[in-house]
Amino acid sequence: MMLTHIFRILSFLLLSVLITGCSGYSSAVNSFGPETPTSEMREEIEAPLVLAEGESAFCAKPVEADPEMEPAIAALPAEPYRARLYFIFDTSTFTAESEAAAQKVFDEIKARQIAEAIVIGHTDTMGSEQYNIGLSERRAERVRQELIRRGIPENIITTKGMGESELLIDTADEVAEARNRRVEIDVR
Amino acid sequence: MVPKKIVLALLSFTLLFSSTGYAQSVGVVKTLLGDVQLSRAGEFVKVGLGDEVFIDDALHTDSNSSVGILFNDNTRIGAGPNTRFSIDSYHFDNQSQQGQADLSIVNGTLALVGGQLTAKRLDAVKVHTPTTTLTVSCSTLSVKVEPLTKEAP
Repeated sequence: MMLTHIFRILSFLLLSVLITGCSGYSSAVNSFGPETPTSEMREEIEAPLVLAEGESAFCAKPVEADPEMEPAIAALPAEPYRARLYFIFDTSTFTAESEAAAQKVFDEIKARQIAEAIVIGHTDTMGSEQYNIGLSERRAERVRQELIRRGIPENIITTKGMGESELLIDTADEVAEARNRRVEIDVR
Repeated sequence: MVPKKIVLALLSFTLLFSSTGYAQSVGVVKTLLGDVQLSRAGEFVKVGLGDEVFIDDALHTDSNSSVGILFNDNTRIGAGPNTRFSIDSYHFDNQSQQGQADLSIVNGTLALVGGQLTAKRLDAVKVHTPTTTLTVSCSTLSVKVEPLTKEAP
């Protein structure tokens, strides 16, 4: 009987030591983890992942400059240039904006070692088909004369008049449409 | 007698075939510097500005020379000095804006900017080198082929 009593006291003591020991840990600070309730990295992790900018991951980085490649790159022909010039109704006179834009076309032609200019005239649907073929030819011719006047050799220019057969803006017959009164110039 | 007939028939057939192949120019020489030679059907001609180029043409630039070609689909190439390259195949349909092209470079430097062909299909233009085949997947391409062995002076 005495032995069980001593055992009971001992086990009680042991238990109380264990409890106080545990209570000592409860006030401890976690010295390893972050001190803020949520990690600073959380935003970064949850943000959408961007693999690469541009068309392909392999195209993003420009080709390294190689001095040996320079003559080949310099030999590349200029990019073909397309322009539209607009005209005042029933005339082969440029609109004010096109008068200014025309200068850029002439500069583009002059910048090339050997250029080829294809000038195609168009009209809107006002007037007869036959009349408009003539008008579109006069518009193309007007551009040709302007190019020659600015020193561009005659033999590199080709002209053609399409009349009202290739409308830029589709309209019914006998409709005045400023965007259809144009020449299209293809500089190659 | 019979074999002779077959040979003649074959000969006329190949002549007919090659003449249709050569009939249409595929591009125009737009830039030129120094001395550039063109080999066409076994004959060498000096290249001039504005010259048309055809399928199977092989071009050779001298030192300090270069040439630039604008193809019908607006693909542009520039070849640097001491470069040998050829146009092995070229097809461009103006209506559908589709087709394909094969270029070969044996030696030297070649720069290429894609036109309608690569705009429609990324692998439509291929550049063959002695060791590999390249496609124009990023619309521009630069190739340098160095000779494996130096020629004796």
